[in-house]
Amino acid sequence: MKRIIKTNEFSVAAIITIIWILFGLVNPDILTVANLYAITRASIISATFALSCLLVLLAVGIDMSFYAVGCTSIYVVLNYLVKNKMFDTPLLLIFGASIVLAIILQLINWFFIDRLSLQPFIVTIGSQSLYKGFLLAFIGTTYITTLPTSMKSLATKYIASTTNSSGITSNLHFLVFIVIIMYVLMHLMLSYTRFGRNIYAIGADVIAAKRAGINISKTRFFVFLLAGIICGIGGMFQVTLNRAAVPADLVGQELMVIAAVVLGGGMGKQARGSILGTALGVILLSLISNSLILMKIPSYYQQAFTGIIILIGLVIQSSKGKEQAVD
Amino acid sequence: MKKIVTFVHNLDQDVKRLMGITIFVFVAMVLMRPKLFLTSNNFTSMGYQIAEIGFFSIAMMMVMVTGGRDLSMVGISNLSGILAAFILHDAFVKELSGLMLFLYILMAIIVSIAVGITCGFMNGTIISKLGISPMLVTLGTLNLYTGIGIILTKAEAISMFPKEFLYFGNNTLIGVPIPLILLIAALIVTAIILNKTRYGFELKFIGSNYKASLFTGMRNKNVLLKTYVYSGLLSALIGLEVLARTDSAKADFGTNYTFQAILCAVLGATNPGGGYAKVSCLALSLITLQFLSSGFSMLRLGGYFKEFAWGLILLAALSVNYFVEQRKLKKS
Amino acid sequence: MNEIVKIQGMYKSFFGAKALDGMDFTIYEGEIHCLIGENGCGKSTMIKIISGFHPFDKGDLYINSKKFGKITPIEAMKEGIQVIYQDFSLIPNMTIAENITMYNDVYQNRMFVNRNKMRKMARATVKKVNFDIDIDKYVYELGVAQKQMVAICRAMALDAKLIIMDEPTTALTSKEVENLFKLVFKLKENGVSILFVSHKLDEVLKIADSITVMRNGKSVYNSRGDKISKEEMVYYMTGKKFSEERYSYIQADNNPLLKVKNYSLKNKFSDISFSLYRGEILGLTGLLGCGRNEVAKSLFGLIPATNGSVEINNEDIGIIKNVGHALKYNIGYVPEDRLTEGLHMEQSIADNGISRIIGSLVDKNGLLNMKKVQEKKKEILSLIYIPQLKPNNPARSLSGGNQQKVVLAKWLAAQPKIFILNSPTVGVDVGSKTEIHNIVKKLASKGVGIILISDDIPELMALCNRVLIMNEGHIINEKIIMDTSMEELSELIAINYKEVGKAI
Repeated sequence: MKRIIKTNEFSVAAIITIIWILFGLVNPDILTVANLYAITRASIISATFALSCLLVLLAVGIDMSFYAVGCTSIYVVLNYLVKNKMFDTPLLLIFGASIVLAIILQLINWFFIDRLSLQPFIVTIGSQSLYKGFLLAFIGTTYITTLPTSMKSLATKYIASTTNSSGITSNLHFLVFIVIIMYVLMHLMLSYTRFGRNIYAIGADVIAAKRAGINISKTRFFVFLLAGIICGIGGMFQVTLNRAAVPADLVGQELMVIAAVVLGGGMGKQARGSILGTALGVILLSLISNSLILMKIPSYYQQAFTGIIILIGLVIQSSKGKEQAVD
Repeated sequence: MKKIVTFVHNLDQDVKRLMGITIFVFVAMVLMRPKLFLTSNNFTSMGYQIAEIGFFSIAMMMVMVTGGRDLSMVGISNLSGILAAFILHDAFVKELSGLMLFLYILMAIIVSIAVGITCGFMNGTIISKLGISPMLVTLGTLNLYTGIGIILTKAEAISMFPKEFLYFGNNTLIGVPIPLILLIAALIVTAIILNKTRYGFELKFIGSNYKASLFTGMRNKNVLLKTYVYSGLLSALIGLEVLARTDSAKADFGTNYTFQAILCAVLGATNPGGGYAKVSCLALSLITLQFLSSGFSMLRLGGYFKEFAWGLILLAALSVNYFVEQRKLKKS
Repeated sequence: MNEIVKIQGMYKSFFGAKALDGMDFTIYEGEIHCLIGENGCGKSTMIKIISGFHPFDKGDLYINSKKFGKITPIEAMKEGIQVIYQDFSLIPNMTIAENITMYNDVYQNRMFVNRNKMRKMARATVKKVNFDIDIDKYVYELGVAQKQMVAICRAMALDAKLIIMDEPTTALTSKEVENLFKLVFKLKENGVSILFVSHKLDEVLKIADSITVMRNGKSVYNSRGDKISKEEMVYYMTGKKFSEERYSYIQADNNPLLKVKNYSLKNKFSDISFSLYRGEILGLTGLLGCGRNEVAKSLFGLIPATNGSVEINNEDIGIIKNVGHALKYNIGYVPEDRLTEGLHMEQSIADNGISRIIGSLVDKNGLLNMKKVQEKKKEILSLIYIPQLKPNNPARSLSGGNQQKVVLAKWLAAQPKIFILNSPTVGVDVGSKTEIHNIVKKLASKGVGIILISDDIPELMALCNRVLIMNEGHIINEKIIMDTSMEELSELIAINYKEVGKAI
């Protein structure tokens, strides 16, 4: 039991509970099921990309290009489909094309980070700019509002719904279910496959991993491949939920996702990079922005608040004696 | 002539490389739009633009030498600008002149610099005393400083400042835009600090091996702190410059400057892992990027193309650095 | 008897420098074979070649009686060769169980990881070697000796036929060394061969079935079961007769330069009291874990003590609070690990040279006096001898011995009055070692008080006039070198005083 309390995940979970209760006292609406549904819906995108972020973080370091990868891949695909009036394309095909493109973009990252041994943070802010610029300069800048039919129907698929006292219905979106499945699969992969364990090994000590016979480049290759798949999926989710494709709209908000992953314990020599930690980190940050709105705190207080939470989280983590890897 | 040849021959590898790039870009731009590029108008406008990214790049370079990153510079710049803006706006509204106006402007400048130093001090203290990753800390403080700026301005822009103040952002001195003069001064001061002071020497050493510096008796925490304070100071100066040039203060201005500063520093031969930087290379890198930026505008290539190009250049610069390092290793 | 590994006439060069120069070597099944030699003799190259990490230029390599022109690490593992490196190469954020089974799992390359099977195998291995530990603990929670045990278990899990241990006892206390030896004998009983690479002559004599001494890339002595004395081993290792030369010291001053009184640091050392006189070379030794490193670092202000006080030239200065405080009193410190603690590898040699005294090169106007800087650079580098020196090259371009000389020069420039040297000749070639010894002796003759921390008993015998022996955080013995011998000194260091019941 003692061991559980010491973990980072427990601290984050504790903070979430405390905040929930405190804010709930200010505005009881925060504690409703309807609000829970709203929070989960708001978290879908960041939760998906956080997974990609965590994967890359465990293996090499910080990725800043995930949003650019996701947005570019889906926009290119949709742009093509819409221009050629292919509105009846099946969902899986759209997913597939988007994912393939996202994989290519992430593998470009892999090339610079693994083959040329360059620093992940700097490479990925470069590729972020490259992909976003490419998208907006050469593909298009228009909002695509008429989506293929298959995507439109996905946008309104719900698993459950609840109606609150004022008669307003809130829905638990189907995609939340998908995200949970993705998280579970990732957890299984990281904990129970050789590939997953190898990721931890090379993240912790490249030389030790090499001596154990692990193929470093190959493992990293598949990490970026997986990251590409997740980013492609994330891009799809974004457009689906938004019911429109706004080119590169997410780019610029990466730091929030990274903060969520780091707060969840994804970084540092003792990172056990738990999926649970990442999930909690995402929930924490979503909870804060959601609650601030509900507590009628003007939106312009949000940034300052988020900044303070991040700093507090970092200070707590450091005081626990955990080493933070410097990028 | 001979003297020039030997001078160039003896220059550092990195400087040579960058000079080559700068000249190449210059020639390319001239060839593509000679009538537009080679005008005094163009050079003057470039002179104005280069100052802002220039200050950020200097700050980023210094922080990079320690092996860290300062992501909060834009937040500091905006926040300090906003606080100065309140004072200046007040002076404008009250239609002050003469000594009173002068005092108000002076106060605005002092407040701005004080804010910059305080923010930098906070960054530096958390980083040096708690040893948390600079990237993450400045991510947090970026949000904090920007957030405070948003709260103070209620997300609206402040404008209307005394024209005497605006003079500095929009006029030239002996033909050179004042902001550019300030930038050149900053470059020279930074070069002196980096190469001819004890602080600069220790900075490079701490950046290349933190532990060994401790064991050698260097003042690690002190140097780190000073570096982030310097970064805060430079950011505050940009804040003032933006006020003077654009006649407005916004909490979220210039968010892509951070990336450009990193690009400029990396292209300018700064080692992102720490321990090495050259001001002359940074200056050449600034000039190159400015030529490209103006050139793109002349070729009507738009802001998005610029982002694309910047991303490409960053990756290219990193790759070149890699191959140069490989060659160096093979030689030794 | 089966030959596990046989090497004949092997040559290997790195960038023109000969690492192996006609090496012959054989290990038999079920024997404990010790490989000894000074640093730079080619020991680590041998290990890397046998385990497949380096190809060799010329020669014959037979493993399990099969000839290999080239061998990869995986092939070596297949043949049952396992290396336990000095840093163990464990993954800190994984459990003991996982670390133990990792090499095996990677080797089998099965897609899925069966946690239960993993823990079962780990438990079995741990039992085999009598290692009592909770296998679900994470490796970062463990101490050094425990980590080593995990590394050994890992090798065992792969059914090793030959386990190569590279300087395995450097980080162990005497009791832990005993346990290790018991384990090594047990492994031998199970038919496993051990290649034990060490420079600790006592240990070698205790466990070796065969001994090979290397020097300059060749084998200069090989025996199976013949008796050899420590003096003879040193002779073969260095090529020189064990020096009867001692450091002659005449106390010039009755006033101690440095007086340490009841210095204590929780959990590391307690009640350390001693005096250091001008011109002395005082040795401080003991098995690792005895606290000597901590005492050194504490006297330099890196880890301030919690109790006690220090007197320098009769002035009571309390506890040395930080490095700045130590520097104020002209205390110098040459650290153990020059790679991470001693030098800035990417900076130039010349810059490294002036890095300690940079503060003194500042003008009144706050800027560095560039002329002075250039002069000092030349001056400092002239204190040591490095052939074909290119001062503007980065420090990493130098050999280990030359690097250590630069570290020394850097500190000499500061003209310390009290000079602490922590294992200054580890990983240094024979020639540089002699040079460093000469520099130290010269310093002492000028009246500097020197504290030499070392594992190397011949070095202690040759340089020091007096030695303090530490054990479990206390000073338990003091010997005047003139009155003792190498045998006695090693014995005194190795005794577990708690067991013998001596008062601490």
